[in-house]
Amino acid sequence: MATSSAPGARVPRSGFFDPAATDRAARRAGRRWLAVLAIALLLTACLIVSVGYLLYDGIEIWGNNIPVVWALDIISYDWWMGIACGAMLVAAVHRLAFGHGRDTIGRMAETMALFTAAAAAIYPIIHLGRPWFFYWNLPYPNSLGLWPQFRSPLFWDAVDILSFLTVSLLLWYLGMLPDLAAARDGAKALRARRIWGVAALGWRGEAAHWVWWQDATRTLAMLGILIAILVQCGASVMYAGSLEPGWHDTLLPVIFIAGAALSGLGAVAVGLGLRRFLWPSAPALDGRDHDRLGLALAAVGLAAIYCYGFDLFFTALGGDHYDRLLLMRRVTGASGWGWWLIVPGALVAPQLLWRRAFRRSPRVLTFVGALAVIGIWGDHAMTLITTLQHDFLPSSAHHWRPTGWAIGTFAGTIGLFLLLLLAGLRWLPRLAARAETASAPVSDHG
Amino acid sequence: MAEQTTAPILLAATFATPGALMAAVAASRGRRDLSALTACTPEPVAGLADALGCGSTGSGRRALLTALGVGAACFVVMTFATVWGDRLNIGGRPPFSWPSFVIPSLSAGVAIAAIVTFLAALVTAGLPRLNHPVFDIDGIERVTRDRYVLNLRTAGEHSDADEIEALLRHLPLPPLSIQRLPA
Repeated sequence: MATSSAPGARVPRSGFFDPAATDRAARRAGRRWLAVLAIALLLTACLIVSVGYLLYDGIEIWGNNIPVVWALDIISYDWWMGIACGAMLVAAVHRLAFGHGRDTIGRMAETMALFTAAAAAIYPIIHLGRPWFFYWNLPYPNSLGLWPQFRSPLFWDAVDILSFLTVSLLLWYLGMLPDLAAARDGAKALRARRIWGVAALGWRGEAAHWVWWQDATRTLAMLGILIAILVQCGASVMYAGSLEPGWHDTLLPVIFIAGAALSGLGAVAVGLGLRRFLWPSAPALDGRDHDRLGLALAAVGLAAIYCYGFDLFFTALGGDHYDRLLLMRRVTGASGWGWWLIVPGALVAPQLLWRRAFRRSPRVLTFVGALAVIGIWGDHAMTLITTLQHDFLPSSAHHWRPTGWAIGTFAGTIGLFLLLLLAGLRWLPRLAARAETASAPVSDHG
Repeated sequence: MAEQTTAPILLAATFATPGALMAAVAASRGRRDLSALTACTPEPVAGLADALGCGSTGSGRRALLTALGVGAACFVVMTFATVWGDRLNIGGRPPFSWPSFVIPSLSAGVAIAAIVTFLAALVTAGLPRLNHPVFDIDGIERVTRDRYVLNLRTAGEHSDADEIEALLRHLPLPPLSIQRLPA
């Protein structure tokens, strides 16, 4: 808990959440928020219909076939979980390195981690051929004496996502407690005070509260880093543990973690851009926050370049015939679209942010973040589809195309995430665009 | 006339700055006629926890031990299940496929450690507690914004609330207000 500042000095923070100074225009739901909400609701309805039909008719409606047994479902799941893990890394590093995380970037990252994991959590159940038996994945007493198959990555997925949701929920909620108390104290209506008051658990801001709050949130942040790495390692080893060309590579966990970090940073930038779009009058981030986010994107982008370059070099040098053929299919031909999403999105665009003028521009930051997120989606698509379509035997090769139901399900998860995010942007402390007062420097002499 | 009460009372002194609060804490600490000294602030104040004797929670150590313990337990369960409980020949893989057990064991350990960290923190802090004497202080709502409140609980018998109040009012940075409430 001890800081290096002089006794009595206030621990500095970038903004001061002042719910009492709520802007009336911001308090009313803006037209832009309602318009985006309508889109989110439409997409969520699409999700409900798609999942309903899936439960009725089965996985075939997605266009999955032999050999492409995993397609848009697993692309989407890996992409969402990658963003979740990346956002968790951003939130955890932000909290550990730059103070207590009670600012817009920290809250956005923690919220992103939780809500993207919630969007991802749809898939592990619905992508099972018989999703109503999902509980077979968990150890429970049964008359047949059966245990789950602990050697299966499917089981790892079940444990990983439950663990990730647990850690991200607890970090998000615990980190928000002081701000929920501020919302309680600033609320005018009795009902609002009660709701915020119950949510804040009676937080009083006592010195002892701050001690355990800082200790516990830092501990959860470190656990968050650990779980993010475990989840990405589990997902990547699911691929790397097989013999498939392009998958059986010790570099794959590194690629997954770098991709997750990149997509997480990009998603945070996109979330901040959405917030600014919905409420243009909301206080902007200061230049230092832009610099940190931009530099992090650029640096992780360099890591991604290293990974892809390393992969290209050793595939060309390694001599494995099937790996080289796969590389050619990844870069050229009908399967090349994934690669050509990665190059501009994940490899080139983040490098623009080495230039300070671009980092300081919120629009450029948001645009580059969006490109990074799309680029990493291309990476998951490339990794999965290109290998499965054609691995060893040409006679076993078969192309895949997504069906409308698969696209509808994916779009629906975007709608669900958007719905959750809109609610967060509307009501969550530090995200809701209420007037924030920059903390005035206070001398120790009052 | 000096007020000496047998029933403990709560003196709540409100300050505008953390420096003023720290000065009041330094002046009040160690007095025998005070049974408790707490402070409510809008954000962590450097040195305040040490001044009030709030120790570390041991959160990190607890989480580490929990994660390792639960992870080890899960590893043992998985080993039992694959080697004895439900022994299946899966593609000729060895029954004790320990590399496969590492990730789910650690994941489960991390999840349980997070839950234990969260619950331990709540229990240590005495939360949730939706009703507390502090909430009866006028203007306590501003403690989550820009006010720093020092709560001094008198020891009851032989406590001189007037003397304590006078001590606070004569500080170089006096409080904005001092209120008396039943403890």
